Amino acid sequence: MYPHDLLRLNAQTQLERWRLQVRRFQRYLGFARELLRAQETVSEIESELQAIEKIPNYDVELQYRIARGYMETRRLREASELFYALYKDAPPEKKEETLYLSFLCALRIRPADRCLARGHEYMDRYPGGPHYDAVSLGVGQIYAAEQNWPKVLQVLTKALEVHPKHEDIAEVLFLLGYASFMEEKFADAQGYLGRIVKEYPGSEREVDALYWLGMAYMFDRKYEEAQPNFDRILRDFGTAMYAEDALFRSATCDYALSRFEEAERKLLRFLERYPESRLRGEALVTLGDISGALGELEEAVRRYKQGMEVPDLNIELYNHAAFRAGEMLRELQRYDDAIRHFEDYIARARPESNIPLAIYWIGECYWDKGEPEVTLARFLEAVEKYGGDRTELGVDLILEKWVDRTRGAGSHGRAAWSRLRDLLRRALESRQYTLALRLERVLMYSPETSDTEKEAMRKFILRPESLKWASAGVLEWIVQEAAASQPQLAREAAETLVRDFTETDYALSARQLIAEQAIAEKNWDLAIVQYNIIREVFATSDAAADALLKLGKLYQEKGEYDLADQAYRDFLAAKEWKARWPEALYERGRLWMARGRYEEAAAYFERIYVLYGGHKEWVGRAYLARAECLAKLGRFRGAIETLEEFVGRPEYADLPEVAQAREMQERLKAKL
Amino acid sequence: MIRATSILGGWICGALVAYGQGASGPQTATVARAAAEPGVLVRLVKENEAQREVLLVRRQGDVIFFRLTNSPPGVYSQFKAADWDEAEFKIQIPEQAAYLEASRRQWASAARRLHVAIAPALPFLDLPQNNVFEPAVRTAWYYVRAAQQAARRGEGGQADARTYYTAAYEVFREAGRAASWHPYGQCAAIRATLCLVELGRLDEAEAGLAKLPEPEIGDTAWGVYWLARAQLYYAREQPRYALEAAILSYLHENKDVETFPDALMLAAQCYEDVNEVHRARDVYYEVARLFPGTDWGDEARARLVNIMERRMTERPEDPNIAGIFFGTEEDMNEKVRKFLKETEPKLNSSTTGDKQP
Repeated sequence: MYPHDLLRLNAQTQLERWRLQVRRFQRYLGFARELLRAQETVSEIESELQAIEKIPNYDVELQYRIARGYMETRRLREASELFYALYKDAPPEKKEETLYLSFLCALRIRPADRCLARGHEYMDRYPGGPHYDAVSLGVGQIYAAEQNWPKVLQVLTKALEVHPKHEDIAEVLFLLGYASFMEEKFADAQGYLGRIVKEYPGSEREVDALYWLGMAYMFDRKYEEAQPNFDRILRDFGTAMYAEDALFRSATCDYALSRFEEAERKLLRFLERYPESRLRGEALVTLGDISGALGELEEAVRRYKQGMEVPDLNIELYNHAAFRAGEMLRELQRYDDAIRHFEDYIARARPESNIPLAIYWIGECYWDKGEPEVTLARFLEAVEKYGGDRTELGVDLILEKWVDRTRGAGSHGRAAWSRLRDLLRRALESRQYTLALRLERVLMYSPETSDTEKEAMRKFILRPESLKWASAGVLEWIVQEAAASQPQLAREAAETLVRDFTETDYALSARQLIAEQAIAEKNWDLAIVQYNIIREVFATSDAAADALLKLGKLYQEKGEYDLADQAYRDFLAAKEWKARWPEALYERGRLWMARGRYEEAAAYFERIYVLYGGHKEWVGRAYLARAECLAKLGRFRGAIETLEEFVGRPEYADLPEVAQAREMQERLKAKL
Repeated sequence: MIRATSILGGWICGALVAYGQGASGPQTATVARAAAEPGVLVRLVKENEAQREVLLVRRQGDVIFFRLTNSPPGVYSQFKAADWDEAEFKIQIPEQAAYLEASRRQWASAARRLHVAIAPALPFLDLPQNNVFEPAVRTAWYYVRAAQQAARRGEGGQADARTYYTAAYEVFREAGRAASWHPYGQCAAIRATLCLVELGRLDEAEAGLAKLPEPEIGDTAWGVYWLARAQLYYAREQPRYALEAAILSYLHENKDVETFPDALMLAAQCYEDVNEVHRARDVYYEVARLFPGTDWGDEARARLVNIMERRMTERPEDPNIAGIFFGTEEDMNEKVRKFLKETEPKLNSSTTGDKQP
């Protein structure tokens, strides 16, 4: 069956051809019969055209049926294309449906760009349309399949704005939660997934939501909140695919909360129930950690070694287990076992094994055994073999220990220094700059190196050209040495450290230097970036605590009081830093003072000396600051009483703030 | 729009141009030349105005050089094709003999016979409503058929196939000049690029296609344009893009037999290449059903036999979304098996000779 438009077009073309023929015949004599016939044909075609014009145009219906035919026979590319062409030409009442059908057909076509284009066109054109929910979910699912999490969030957040009661609300919330998790927006993930659990119990996504909700809390280090979700899976969805993982995660939460016996009990149950689990290795290593935490070193070693035997154990866990086991063997003074253990580790040499570090420990064991010559020989072996690779951090560790170990090794020490010097000569000859830089750095501490040589070595290292060759240890040395005399070089070394050794502890001091220099230059934003990274990467370390306090002050400096307050609140939420809470409270009080909110500030200062009286270094400052707040509020009598309380307590009599308090008392009394 | 000077001025006032020399050359010298000059006699018609019979001798870009039949040789005037409404080349075209040969699948012979006759007119096919354009297109098609016939002979026929495709390309390219007045003119130009693809001259084909305007749905050239695109993609080993282009070709065109089955066959091949073998089966089935007794039908049937014998479509597909949407579903494997059984060749039947593709 031909489309109406095509029939008309063909008829018009034929008409033109026959009219041309008529003109040709008219032009010449002797073609009367042909002319007559041509004229008749023209007249017939004209009648046909009139007849065609009278028939209502059925093309849209015809195309729709063809497209549907394609769709029914799974010729989805054809169907999608045809529905889309129809959408462009169809009358208004058909447009929405044809665009939707084009999208629906495109859903199964890969690559997905066409489907996404149609989906976005639908959502832009028909927000809240009859198929809006299906389209928005479909588009979200495609982005999820492509792991394009920001797009998942963008599309489905908008979908919920357009239609809060989305027909697949649980699925949408799940995708939002999962995408938030993948984007490390854990609070958002907790919100979306928590809604599924609370508002849509019994939905198909409930168990998925429980699992990922647990994971979102766990990655947020909120183990107390995480665990009930895993336990709920174990209780109510014992046969779900998540059950195995949930048992392991529940144990991990116990471990993180220092409930070691409970964690151990669960992990042993896990190994018994799921002997083939892909988490078996991780479970054994965690059991090793637990035994270590409980002081059962022999058992810990046994478990670590068992974990290391599990094929495909993640290399980070494998290295962790190997070094923890070796260190424990050394601690148990089973030096030969430790040496054998590390030699086995070296022999296995998995990709990304840390061989120089293993040699370091072997050397240390020999030291403990009273064989310093072997220690130095093994150290030298590692330096010679791996010293040219700037990424081998174990070599830096060995060289840091070198001075101390040679010092206690008598004649072996002197011989070792001599061999190191030979090595340097060869390194320079063969232009192995990474090795040469490492060696020069350590040879500066050799008893046989003259001051002139030392100065030459110092100059050799402290050059911008060194940076691309320098190992982490050398870069760190440059950062420290050049900080005062060559700040630009120190800065570049720090940046190189951060760039090339991002995941290591060396990067920490580099970031601190960059941040401190940024503060000196009043480049608050750069400092904030660095401190934020420190607090995230080195989460529970002292450096992270310092970073948070610095962040509070920097945000305050920028007038971003809410962010400043958040930094202090984050600090006060970490139990690991309980000992430093008074400091954070004090800074928080100062922040509220800066905002002119003296009432709130006074409360923070009061909390310090009421709750943390033992922290005398903060108590004196807290009394003074509270008095200052009350004075600002015009409550001079209260201020004086606060100071009197402080001065009158004998346990604080030796604090330097007492004298200041007395002076302040006098000043305030004069105002009464 | 006809220029005022082109009717009379072209004859009388237009610049006299020396044949084979620049316009500034001495006119007296040119008159002496061109005793046996090449050219083709044509009657030019301007609606309700003039008619002239002239000898066309050559062209330079848009400009056609001619002389009047009663003018001395070597003295030429010029015009542009669009200056006239009709043109009738005074040449004898052996249509009848060529048709007879074509009906016997003697494609090469038919093509050559026509080609010799129309060759003088080929450079001037942009003259509107001329009587050689359609024989020219027929000539090119006969060459294409001859090339396909030669290619089917295997290795031995490859050289002949290249020769015929080259000839087809040259005739189609000239026929492409008619794009200004004939609805098939642009198709001819696109067909020329398809010949280039067959010849492996892909960059030239790409460049040729890029110069042509992209047709709109409903244009005569739509199907062949997207077929050419598809063939190019396929030749460049991009079956996914080739598939999309082939689908565009047959989806929106008027099921022209010169493109429709080729586009379907290419789409089916692409479906195989992108490992959507269920869809390849469906398209081969469509071709085999629509074009029984042709090379397309036979090839499609052979591919279907291969797919079914190797049980390539036995793996169940995902639930059909159309089935979900419209509540329908059918077993294509069963339909294909039934079709193959019904069309099984009889043992004593002869399949000699080329079939019309």
